[in-house]
Order: sequence, then structure tokens, then C-alpha cells
Amino acid sequence: MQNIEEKLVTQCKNGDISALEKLFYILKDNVYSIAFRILGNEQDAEDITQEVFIKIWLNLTGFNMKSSIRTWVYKIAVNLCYDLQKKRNNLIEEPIEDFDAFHSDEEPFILLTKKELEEKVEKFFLMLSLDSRLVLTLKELEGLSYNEIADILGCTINSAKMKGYRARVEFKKIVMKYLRDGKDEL
Amino acid sequence: MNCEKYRTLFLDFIDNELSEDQIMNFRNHIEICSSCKKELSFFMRSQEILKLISRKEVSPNLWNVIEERVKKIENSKLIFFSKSYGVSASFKKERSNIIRIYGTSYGIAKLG
Repeated sequence: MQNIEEKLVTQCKNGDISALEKLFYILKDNVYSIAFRILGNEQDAEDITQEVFIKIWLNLTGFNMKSSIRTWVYKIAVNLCYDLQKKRNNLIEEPIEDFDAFHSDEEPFILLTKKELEEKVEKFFLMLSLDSRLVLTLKELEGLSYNEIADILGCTINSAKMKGYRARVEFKKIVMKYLRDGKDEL
Repeated sequence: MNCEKYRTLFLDFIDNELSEDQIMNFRNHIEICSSCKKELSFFMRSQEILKLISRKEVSPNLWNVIEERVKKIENSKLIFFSKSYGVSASFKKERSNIIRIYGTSYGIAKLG
């Protein structure tokens, strides 16, 4: 039995634009969030979201329903983000090492409000390498399994898990660097 | 098993993907290894911290831009089709599809 998303895909394949519109409203924030977390700015994320739904429309006949529609759509989003980064020659990017923005802030995490803590975590997240941002976005934000992440990244499950492990180690390094000298506590 | 091997199981432990035997071995090691205990504690804490990363919302108005582009794509397909093959029965069928989808033939009627 087809779920709602699969039904919409079938309708899209028959040329029904209103089905694409429904699919857009179901998936738009997921796609936009993935693009935003990977690229780090709203305009790029919006452009990528637009391109993703155009690609869905153009390539739906090639979608065989063997994988989930979400995995397929996320894969399109991830590939477009990588392509954009490539164009900007930023693909082999290193984590940002500039902590100056934080050095002036002496306030311990424990004293921060939830909103302030969220802002800090957002900044830490953007300091991660592109691969780490990607795997943590798919795992923590989208709640995908490592099996699905491996499918999107075109790698083995073990490799996806290793990327997840490395991403957390990298995240830890960034937080520890912020916490060095024992000023703050999470 | 050394610490490094236990650390590769951190994610499986957090995601509840270990068997009962593996969980028992894992817990036994964590109890006696302060280094792994500390590392695991951070991993679990990082899970909570990362949950602070929220989903972003895009304006629903973006659909208007997408819809316009999709309609242009479909329109150009039909123009190409009619220029390449002339007007035929299949074209008339395509045209009626267009009218069904968009509620108008978008000027394609002239070609028909």
C-alpha cells in the first residue's frame, strides 16, 4: 500500500503539478534545513530548495520507488549542496579555527539562557567540516538511520557510522577548545 | 577489547543497536575505564546539545517561484513537440492535459 508521499510521486509522474505542490509543503523545511546546515546561509539554502523541487519534477520518471522518496530527495539536496560548494572551491574545507568571536565572551555556558546556548551551538555547528555537518544534520536533525545516511552518501553503513563518530569527535574538539582554561561548563 | 574498539561502539550504544551481551560487555568496560566513561558521557551530552539545533523554515511563497519554473518547463516541452512533429492527435491529447493541469493552454492553442 502506498503512503501519501508515494501517492503524490505517482501523481507527479502523471504531470500533476498540484501533487508537486503538496510534496513541497511536506518536505520544504526538511530540504531547506539540510541545505542551510550544510551551506550556512539562508539565500543559498533557499536557492537549493528551489532547485531540488525542479529536479524532482524533471527526474521523477527515473525514481523507481525502491528507496524512500525522502532518501531520494535528500540525496538530490546533498548533491546540489556539494556541487555549489565545489563551484566555490570550498569542497575541501577545513574546520574554522578562528575562535576570536568567542574569546571575548567570558560567560560560562551554565549561566546562558536556552536561546544563548542555542546560538553558541549554532556557531559550533558551522565550525564543523562539511562532511561532519552533513552527517550530523541527517542523523540528529532528520533522524535518519545510518543505513539511510549510507544510501544518501553512497557509502557503506560502517563508513557512515565512522563519519558520525568523527563528527562527534570534531564537535567535541570545538567545544573543548571553547571550554579550555576551565572557564565554562556545558 | 581495547578502549578504541569500545569507542567505535559508542554510537551503537547510544542508538540502542547493541545486543544484550554487547551491552553487558560495554557497561563492564565503562565501569572500570574512567577515560571511556568520560568520553561516553560527552557523547551522550553532545546528543542533547545537538538537539538544540532546530529545523529551519522556508517561506511557503517559494512555491510560487517553483510553480512558475515548472510551468515554463512544461510549456517549452510542448512548443518543442509541436514544432518538431507538427500538430497531431497526440498533441491534442497533450494540450487537453495542459488545460487539465493549468486550467489554460498558455497560448498553445495558437499552435493547434
